[in-house]
Amino acid sequence: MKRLPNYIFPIFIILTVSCKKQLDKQPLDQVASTTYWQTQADALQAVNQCYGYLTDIDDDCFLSCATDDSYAWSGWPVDVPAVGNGSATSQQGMFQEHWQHSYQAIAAANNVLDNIGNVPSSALADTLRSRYRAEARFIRAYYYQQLIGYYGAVPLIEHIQTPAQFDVPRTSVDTVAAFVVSELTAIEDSLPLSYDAADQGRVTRGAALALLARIRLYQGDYTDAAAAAQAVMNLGIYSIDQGGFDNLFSGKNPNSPEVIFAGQYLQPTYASGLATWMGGPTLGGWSEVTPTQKLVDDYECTDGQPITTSPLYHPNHPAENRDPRLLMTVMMPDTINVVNGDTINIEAPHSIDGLGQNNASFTGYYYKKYFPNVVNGQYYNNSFNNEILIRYAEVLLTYAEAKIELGQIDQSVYDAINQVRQRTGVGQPAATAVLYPDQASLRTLVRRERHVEFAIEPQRLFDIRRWKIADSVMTGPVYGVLNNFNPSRSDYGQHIQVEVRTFNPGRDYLWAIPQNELLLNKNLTQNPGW
Amino acid sequence: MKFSKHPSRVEVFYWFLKKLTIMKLTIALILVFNLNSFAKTYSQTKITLDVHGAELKKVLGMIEKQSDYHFLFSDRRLPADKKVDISANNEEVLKVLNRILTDIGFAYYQLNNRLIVITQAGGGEATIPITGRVISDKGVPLAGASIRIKGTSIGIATDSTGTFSLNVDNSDAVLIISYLGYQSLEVPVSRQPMTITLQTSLSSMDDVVVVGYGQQKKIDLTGSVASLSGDKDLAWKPVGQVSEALQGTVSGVTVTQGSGQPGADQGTIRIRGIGTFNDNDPLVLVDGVQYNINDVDANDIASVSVLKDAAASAIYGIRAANGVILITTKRGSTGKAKISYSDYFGWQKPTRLSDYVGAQEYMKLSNELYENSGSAAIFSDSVINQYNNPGRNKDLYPDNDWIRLILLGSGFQQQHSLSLSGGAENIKYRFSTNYFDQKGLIENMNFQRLTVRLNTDINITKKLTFSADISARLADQTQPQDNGTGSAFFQFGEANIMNPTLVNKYSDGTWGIGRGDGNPIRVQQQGGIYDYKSNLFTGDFRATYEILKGLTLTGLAQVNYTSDYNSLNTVALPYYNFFVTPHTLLNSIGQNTITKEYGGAWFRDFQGLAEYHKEIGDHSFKLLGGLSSLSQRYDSLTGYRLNLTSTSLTQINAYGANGETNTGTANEYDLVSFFGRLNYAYKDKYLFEANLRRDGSSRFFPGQQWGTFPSFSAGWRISSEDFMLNQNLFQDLKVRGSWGELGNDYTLNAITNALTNYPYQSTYVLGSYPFGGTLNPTSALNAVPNNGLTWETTKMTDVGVDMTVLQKHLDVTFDYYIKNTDNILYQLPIPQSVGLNASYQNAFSMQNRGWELSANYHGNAGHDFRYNVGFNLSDVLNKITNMKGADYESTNSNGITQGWETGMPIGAYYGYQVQGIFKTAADVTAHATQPGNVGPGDLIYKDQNKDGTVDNKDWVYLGSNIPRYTYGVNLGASFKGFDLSALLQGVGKVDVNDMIMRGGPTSRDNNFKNFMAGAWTAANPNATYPRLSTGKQNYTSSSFWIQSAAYLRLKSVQIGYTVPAAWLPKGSFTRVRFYVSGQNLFTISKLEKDIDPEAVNDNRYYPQVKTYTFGANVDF
Repeated sequence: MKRLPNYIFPIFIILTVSCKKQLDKQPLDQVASTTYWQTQADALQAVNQCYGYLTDIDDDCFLSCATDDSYAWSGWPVDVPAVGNGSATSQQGMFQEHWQHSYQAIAAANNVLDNIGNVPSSALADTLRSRYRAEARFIRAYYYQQLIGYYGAVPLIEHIQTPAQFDVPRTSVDTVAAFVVSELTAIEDSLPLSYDAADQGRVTRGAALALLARIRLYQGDYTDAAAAAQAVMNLGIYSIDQGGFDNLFSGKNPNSPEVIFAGQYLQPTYASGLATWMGGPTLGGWSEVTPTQKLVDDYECTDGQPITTSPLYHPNHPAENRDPRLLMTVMMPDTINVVNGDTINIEAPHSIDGLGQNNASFTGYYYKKYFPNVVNGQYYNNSFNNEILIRYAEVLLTYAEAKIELGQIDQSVYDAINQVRQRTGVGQPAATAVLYPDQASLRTLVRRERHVEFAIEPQRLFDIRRWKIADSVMTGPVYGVLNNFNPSRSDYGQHIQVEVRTFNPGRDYLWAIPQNELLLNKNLTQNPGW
Repeated sequence: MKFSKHPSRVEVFYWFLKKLTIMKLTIALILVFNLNSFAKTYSQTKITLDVHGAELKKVLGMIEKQSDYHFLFSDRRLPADKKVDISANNEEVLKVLNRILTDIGFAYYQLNNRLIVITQAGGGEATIPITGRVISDKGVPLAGASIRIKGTSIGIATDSTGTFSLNVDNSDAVLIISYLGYQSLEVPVSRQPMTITLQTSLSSMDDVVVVGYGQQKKIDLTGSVASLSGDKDLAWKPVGQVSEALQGTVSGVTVTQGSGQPGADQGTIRIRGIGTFNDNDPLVLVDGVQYNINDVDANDIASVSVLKDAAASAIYGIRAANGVILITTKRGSTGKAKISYSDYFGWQKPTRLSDYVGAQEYMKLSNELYENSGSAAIFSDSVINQYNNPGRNKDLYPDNDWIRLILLGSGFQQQHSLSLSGGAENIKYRFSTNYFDQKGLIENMNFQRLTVRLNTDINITKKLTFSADISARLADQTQPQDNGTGSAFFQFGEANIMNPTLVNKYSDGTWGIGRGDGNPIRVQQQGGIYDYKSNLFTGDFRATYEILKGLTLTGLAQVNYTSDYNSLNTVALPYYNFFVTPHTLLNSIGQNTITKEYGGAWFRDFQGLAEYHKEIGDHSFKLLGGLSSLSQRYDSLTGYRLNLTSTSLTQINAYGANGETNTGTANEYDLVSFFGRLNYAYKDKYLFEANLRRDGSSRFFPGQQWGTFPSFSAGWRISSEDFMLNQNLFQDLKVRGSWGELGNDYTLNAITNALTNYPYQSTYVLGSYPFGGTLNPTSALNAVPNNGLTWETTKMTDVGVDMTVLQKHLDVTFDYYIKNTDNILYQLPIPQSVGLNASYQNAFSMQNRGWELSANYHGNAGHDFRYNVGFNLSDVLNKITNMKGADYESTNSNGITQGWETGMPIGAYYGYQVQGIFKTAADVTAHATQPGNVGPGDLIYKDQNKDGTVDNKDWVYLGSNIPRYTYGVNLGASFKGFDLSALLQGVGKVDVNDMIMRGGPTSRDNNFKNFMAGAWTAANPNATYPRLSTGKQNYTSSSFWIQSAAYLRLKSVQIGYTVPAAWLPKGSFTRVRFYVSGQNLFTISKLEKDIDPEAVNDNRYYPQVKTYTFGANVDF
């Protein structure tokens, strides 16, 4: 060891060899964007991504708490009570949440539309390519339809943006709506009427037409709305489900002919937190989305009369003689409510679902509609029922409403309404020209029908806005159940009052553009009053 | 599983016996190892010679060959004609040398280590022979102490018995006696044999400090470096983590501890403030190798150096922008094996807990809350009045203080530490092991850690040395199962919001269901256990070869492997309806599941270093060059089973494939670096240093991977100038200045806060979505790509003064610095309408300006009482200097608004200025419109822009949460056998938003603190706390919630007693010491008494703890 130790040098050599290669590190569980868009699978997976945003029931069921359907006792997770009772500010999480979510879906669709042309034609057949494009365009159109309903004018973004393009100003509601219409019209022919079993859940031609009917109705374009609804009806592949109104939503009947488009869930790997938000303590939930007295009161009695006029209505036994959809939608006192084998009884002394119990409903009512028929465990994210986004009943009621507004009242209007209210298991008396002879009475009927038929579904917020009825339905005290069973409370003998709502018509017909968004996009303007 | 709450005395004794047995076994092993392998080595300090009439030079050469001494002499002055006769048989070199040189009228003195200078004794005229002995203040002879005649270069070193003899030329001569680690002493010569006692050095002036890739004398430093001793500053504190022990010890270093949870109580370390939006943790190197500071046992630490400025840390380039902490572990030294054992036993208590109202008050306040908010009172008077009856039915009308009920853990902790060290001439070793066991305040929330370390030094030849250090850390943390939010969060979070009317156990033992999500007490006792096992194995191997005189090469290979294995078991806990007979099932909370998580992290670092040292006259040069290749890889794999048929077996294969899922991933990182350093000193007065580092990182796009980071520093030791020779004020005075540039490639995801190894890449993230009842693959474009991404750089300028005054009793260091960070890597928020995640950009610039002062005084009063007082204080002012026009404020989910605004501190609080509380409805109408349903009793927000509407345009700056004026006071004293150490630590100025702690509930699913009974009501219109309400109008960012969290805390204190040596049985112990100590014993703060100033923002986390311990140190 007199000379240099030979084993020192290899260390130095190891260190100096090929630094360049050593520093070239690629992600190991993600694909770099530079090597994407080569194969059909690349295109398909990017299209599939667009659908992922549809399964957003956590946000969508909370939407009903911003309407007269429901009351949320907790500000968690998106501050919905403030949106419902008129005390919201532009920083409210809910405004942020729906904005962000919608634009994420739009970007996923734009990503497909910007890049799918890069997949070589040897790898992707033209018919498939155009179907993929149509699927992405539909989902983009769907979210723009939602966005203008929430916020009014919004940035219309049709491509993936570079940083220089980020500060987009708002585009008027009419222009965005026209864009949605033209998109839906353009893709109709590229979409199939139906898919193989393995592709259930994808966008169909029926979905495009039904959404077209919806946006035209919402825009007051009644002629075209009725035509689009008629087109769906003419397809002959959809019908009102006769297998039970409740089964339609609980997950027992995912492929019902009534379902036109739905966000898909899958047991046990692809789940939502629906049961946690809606369920009461017995069902392991937190009772965050609970029905109000207002919703309960809108259901007719079995004679087809509203409770204000029906002799069958008993104020102390409100569950009796009612439109069967009430008991399929709301768990009422005075009745035995069994869900998935558990009995929910708020009247029994010491019931954990009773008034004032922890996690129990503040209104005393619970939703039954949409409660999943399978819940794995109690904790968050264990519900598997699909979220129906468009169904045939909406198409029929859109048809009816458009025709009523046009003054084109004929038998097809009554038929459309009756198909909905006379489904198997509901069987409300038929609406006839005798009972509802004119536009005004039919308008009242179809609006009531939409309310009770679509309880907790996302339509109600938009209906309140386009009918401009918030002054009557979104103001004043919000009541819950009639407490004639719990004398330990100070509201014994009265309806529970959960809150007082205010509505500012100069402001609240549109949500605020999220505060953080205004700070980041200098070209964005706020809605009036916010 | 059942754990006894307090170990009995028998258990403790058993523990001690077990430890002793292990100790004996280990000693035996080491001895056998030694004897077999190294029996035939030659002595380094003893020689055998038999020469006659040999030339002096030749004899010196022979001694050099046999020993590891080196001689320095001038050929011209060493006359060839002087012949030497000497015969020695295994004699000490220094003794032999003395005999040779005295015979021929020469003398020697010893420089550092084993370098010996031969000179003519007394210029050849020496006449008066002097002899003496040098001993330490403890009476131990000091071998190798340097004796020099003042005013000359003549000197000699003491031999192994501490004795010396030399000749002086006149009786007025003065001897300067010096020895490393002791105070130098000047004594007039005496013809009688002298006994000279050296006192342990008071001043750190003589210290050698570990710096990047080397060591330097503290007086030669030109950068800003603080150093600590492991034993004196860290190991005495009864804490589980080294980061905690660091708190309050170094100026400019802020340590905050957010949690007291066993195994999760690591402190967050910030050196000179927050320099980036990314990770701000300093680089920690243990013996030159990257480490987690909490993975090293404090008892193993010899010294800690904190490199604060760019000059000191630039040699570490991109990894050093947040400062560097260098930890040096203790090593063995030649001599008989030494065994040290220490232990302690302690008990923890929470520092602060909230006081909540009882059941009756809770119901009244709930009614008030709802009546204030448009709803009806919930509780009728008849129910409220039930609580007036102490004999009431407690199944129906319970009254529980949950936060105190959940504290079922023993809080017992113990630590045992054993070390064995020693060495022969060519091998030195130190073995150590430490066992730390901490039971939490919550049952089954525990932490255990075992560390083992073996450091060895081997001299293969005189020029080639090799060291192999291996260590292991086995950690095991347990928690009760949770509901997905974290176990401590579940326990404390639930307990802090569960109201007193909830039942824990009914009269017949039936468990209450809590808030509906389960009863945290039952979960502690009957739930599944989450077990986190983390094992770290490290190997650090280095060889150093002295290729030429002054030139050494070092090769270093370092490999760490961390293996995490988590076993998370949850069990379904059924709850029954007590009020129905037989009890019916209410609900079963949770599921029977197993999750196994494996994660393995490899860390490899290969380094080559070359060092060259040359002195030319008064010029001294040191050159260092090196290269390093570092690579990391992390792999993880998770398996999950759901719907288990039972919970008795806890392995995946014990159950069928029901609801199984698995996930797995991996990531990599590589860093290649070249670096160099030049030190130049002229006469030890003018000091200069330059560093250059070039780093290549895999985190950037090819073409932008390489960055170059230079630094320069200079120092002037004024006290060494001639004009300072006759002054008595400064024993040392140095001014220094530095400038340097550092980098950062460490990016954190803005949302998950996780490290991103591929920040420049835009990727497709794979996922799934079901069609037709089957999951189909999806892939999402993740972010807008940014190929131009490159280094974040930090430029730091530092000026400092080091001085030693008051006859070396006081050391003072002051530094002022400006630290500018540019091109901060950040996911700059982009409009959400883009629909993609923000990509990383070189976004912002930020500045930290600050100063640091530290002063250490060492004194004694009389012979027995010695004391020291250390004080450190620092300030840092943070501001964002450039946001590229993207200034923004953002409100988090807790409603707290923070801003990122040019010219303001990062993350500063913004919100409304509160002007009081509305007293009447007329006040409300008269004021500008405020958001929410505002009524009397609500906070009045100032309409700053007077536009009639209170909105975000009226937000103003409310304060910053970056601590300023952080300080620490270290006290030490000893009197005879007693010793005292104490550390006080605090922050002079910091703002917190305590809305989460002080805000009232917005629903009755929560609890009211005692003080909320004094909230505003119509009957109490002068209240200072707003009305209780379900609305959030008062619970938004405003000055009402901003408070000062300045505090002073007695962080650690210890009193020890060392048993006099005379009382110890001969030949057994060499030292026995007993002590008591405490941690976090008291705190002064203006915050509400339940808010801990170190962990302000939430009581849903595990509180800080105060600890009382009893311990012993024993040396053999």
